[in-house]
Amino acid sequence: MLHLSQISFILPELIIFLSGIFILIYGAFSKTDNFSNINILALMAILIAGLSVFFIDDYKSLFNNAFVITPLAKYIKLLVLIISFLAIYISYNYLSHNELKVFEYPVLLIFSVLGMLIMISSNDLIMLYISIELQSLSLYVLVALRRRSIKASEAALKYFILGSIASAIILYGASMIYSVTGATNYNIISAYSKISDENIIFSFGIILILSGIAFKLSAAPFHMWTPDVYEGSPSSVTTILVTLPKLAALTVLINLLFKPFIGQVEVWQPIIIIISVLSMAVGSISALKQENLKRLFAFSTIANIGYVLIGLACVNEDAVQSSLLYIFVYTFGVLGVFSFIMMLRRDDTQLVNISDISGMSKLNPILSLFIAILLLSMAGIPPFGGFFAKLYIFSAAIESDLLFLAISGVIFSVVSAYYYLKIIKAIYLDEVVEDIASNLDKKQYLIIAFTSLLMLTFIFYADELIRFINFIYI
Amino acid sequence: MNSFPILSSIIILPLFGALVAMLVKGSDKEISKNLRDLALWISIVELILVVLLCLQFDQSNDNFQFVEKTVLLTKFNISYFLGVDAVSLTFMLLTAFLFPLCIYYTKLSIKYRTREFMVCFLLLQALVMGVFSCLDIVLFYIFFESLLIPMFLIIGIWGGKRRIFASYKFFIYTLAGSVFFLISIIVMASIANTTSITELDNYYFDIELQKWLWLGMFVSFAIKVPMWPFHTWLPDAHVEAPTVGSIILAGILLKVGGYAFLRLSLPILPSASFYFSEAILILSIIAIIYTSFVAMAQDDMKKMIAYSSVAHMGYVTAGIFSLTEAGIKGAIFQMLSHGIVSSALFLSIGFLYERTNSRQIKDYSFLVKSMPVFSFLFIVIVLSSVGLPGTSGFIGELMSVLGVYKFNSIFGFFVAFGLVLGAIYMLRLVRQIVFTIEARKETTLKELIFSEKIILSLFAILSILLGLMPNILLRFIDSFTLKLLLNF
Repeated sequence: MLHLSQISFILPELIIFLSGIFILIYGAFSKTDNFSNINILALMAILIAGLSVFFIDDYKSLFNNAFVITPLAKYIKLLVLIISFLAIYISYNYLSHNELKVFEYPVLLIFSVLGMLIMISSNDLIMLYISIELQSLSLYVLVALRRRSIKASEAALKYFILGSIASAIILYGASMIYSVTGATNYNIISAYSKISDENIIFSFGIILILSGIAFKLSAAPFHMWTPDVYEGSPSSVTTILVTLPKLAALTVLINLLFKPFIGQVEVWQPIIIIISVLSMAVGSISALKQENLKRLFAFSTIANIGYVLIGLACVNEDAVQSSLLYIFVYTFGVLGVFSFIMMLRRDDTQLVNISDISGMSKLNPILSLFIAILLLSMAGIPPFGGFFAKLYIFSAAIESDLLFLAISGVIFSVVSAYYYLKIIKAIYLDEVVEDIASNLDKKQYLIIAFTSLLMLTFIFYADELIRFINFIYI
Repeated sequence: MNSFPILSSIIILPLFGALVAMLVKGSDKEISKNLRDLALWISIVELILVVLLCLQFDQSNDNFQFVEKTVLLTKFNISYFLGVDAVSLTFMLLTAFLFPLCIYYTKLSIKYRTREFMVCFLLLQALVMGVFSCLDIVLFYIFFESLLIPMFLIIGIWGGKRRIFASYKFFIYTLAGSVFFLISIIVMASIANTTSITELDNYYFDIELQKWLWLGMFVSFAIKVPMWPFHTWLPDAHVEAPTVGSIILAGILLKVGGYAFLRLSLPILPSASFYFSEAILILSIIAIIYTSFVAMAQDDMKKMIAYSSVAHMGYVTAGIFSLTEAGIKGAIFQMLSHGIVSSALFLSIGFLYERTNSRQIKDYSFLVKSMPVFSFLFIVIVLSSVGLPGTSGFIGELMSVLGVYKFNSIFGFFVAFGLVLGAIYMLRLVRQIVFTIEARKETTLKELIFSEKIILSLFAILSILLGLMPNILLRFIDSFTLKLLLNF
């Protein structure tokens, strides 16, 4: 039973849950159009939850070890809350421009964040499954929120059907592991996996669970849904999709691989390697032909996940730390890029094609510079953040004798430089077709400026960041 | 000794200028004038700073001087580590000399988007200075690679008709090469657990490993130099780049490759450098002879000069990898000389292009009548490019050939044969555009205006000065060369 004093350990989850319920009731029963109030409430809830993270003790476990709090979980939770705060903050005007001002939007987002928070802390396969479902179901509805758009409905249906299959696969895998170990708790599975020899059913369980998580991470070959869903859903939802679930799923993956499955490295290491190389290849090569910015960044996400997985494939602590560093840089970079995509409007329509931003540098030189920094950083060109993230990932791979992973990583980063350059070319080298709306959204602009300065000055705080990551993940 | 961080200020000053240029407001006309002046002044101050640096430099000391060091990342101890020796100072001086002239010349050539141009140019200057003065291999890579961004924009925005293709080819080609350099860096750093060039110099890597590391670095530098068969980006980039872009590309960026061989490949991986030296000489000979023939077949003057650059850089790589004192000194000399001469050649072609909008050889004839001053200066520069005694080209090429002769006399013969080929196409160019009149109409063009004369004659004078007094430079790089050769 949960003791009253233990409530403090689930404080962020509790706050998010209660405020979600409250906002739901408030939204349903208030008659007037009070979206801005609800928006502020949601922001406040996330802010308080974020602050409450600092009051949790480390290394606690609750609910019969189904829920653990490690420093890693704690700070990833904080990051998730920060990113979701920013995502709500920047999308307010986008939502009002695109007739998405419904109170369900913040509510669903909050419930999905709740799912992610539990995912990050889960130490039990059942807990994991439930939280993944909570997270995914809220996101399915968010994708479908633009009811009249055929593309959005298509995206939602695709996401829902494929996502459910992935969840089912995770459940199937969990049942196989249960059949062998008789437990769903990570600690017991971990003990089993360390002492047992090769067991085909156990291996199958691992493989199935990994496949399900890879789907959530949109890693190739489980990436098929990504471009369509990202393109079809409203940009504000895409912003959430490219950042939050990736963070949560990566943490789950790290927890799974290095706790319950650590005894079976020879089973999962080749799988992670293959997934990683495939993701880099698919992401880099497929993006070359894309003209739609959202599709392009969907593929870029796939490629980036490939780089993150290099760190996990190395099976050592330093390498996992570089993965965490990479996902940090990636998350903020892509947040900036998607604020930019949300910002692009002309005559009451959202712009999504590369050709729409031709010649932007002449009219908006400072904004163009920020975007160029973000893109060059994602392309891994020094001296920006993305380069150092890649440097750490590649050095981790080389130090773990996985030279070929580093080499394929650099080759695909050259390929991907091409499509980032394509956007820079449109901004700087092409002639102006038509100006984008002159009244740029201030909030989005702020986030773009913030993230690009973050990438520009990365070298100055990189060491501190690494030390911090080292501290939270030992 | 001197606690003032002079190297940092050389790097930061143009960065600061770029920041100012980015932020100022005003009408287009005012901005373009004021920013050009700003950039010009900054580059002049840079020149003064570098000259001061040269004066304070202690020639008898073969260690790095004016060292600044701050650790940036604890991983591998990647640090902000600057310092100069004779060879890096030589190239910094070349850079500092070329930039004010280029910026001065932009008054005549860059007609639109001046603000962006000045930002790119100042950034480029900061990064080039960084490349030549840093002593940390990761920092070197950062500067080396970031050079691509401003250069991409310079070719892409102010270039010719196929500028977008050319800028892409330049960027992707160079990037593809340098990522292998990155892999080599990481492997070296993870074994030696340091990225400082001075410490890596003293670290001995296993010979088999050295070969692989060397190859990874080689791909990158060979593309930058460029060596045959990695040179195909160069003609495109040169032809499409605006004149000032070509000057910087030929005058400085190509030298970065040669400098990297001297700074990194030879001292850090001596055994591998020795192992591959014969192969490099063969590639250089192919470059010299093959690209000379290609240059002969060109109708486009700029393309011709671009191919001749490849041939001239062939002497540089041949000289470096002859691993002899004469060869290395010759190579450094040749790089400096080529920096001056090829810039002047591109500038001359730029002058002609602005008058007629054509780079075809067949569109010009008998310029000696309408443009006597231009013709005179052009001939001086061409002669210095083909290596006439008394010009800078002669010393560089002669010493490189001597070095190669010492290494292998058959190779020496071929390299020397290249000198003749170079003379053939360059002199033919002069004959066709300056002197020939038969069967073609005489081209009447406006003579160079005063500022054009000044710029071009500065190059010509400098080239002759270096040709007559080569010892200034040769003595300067004496201790560097000897220290380098101690590795072999």
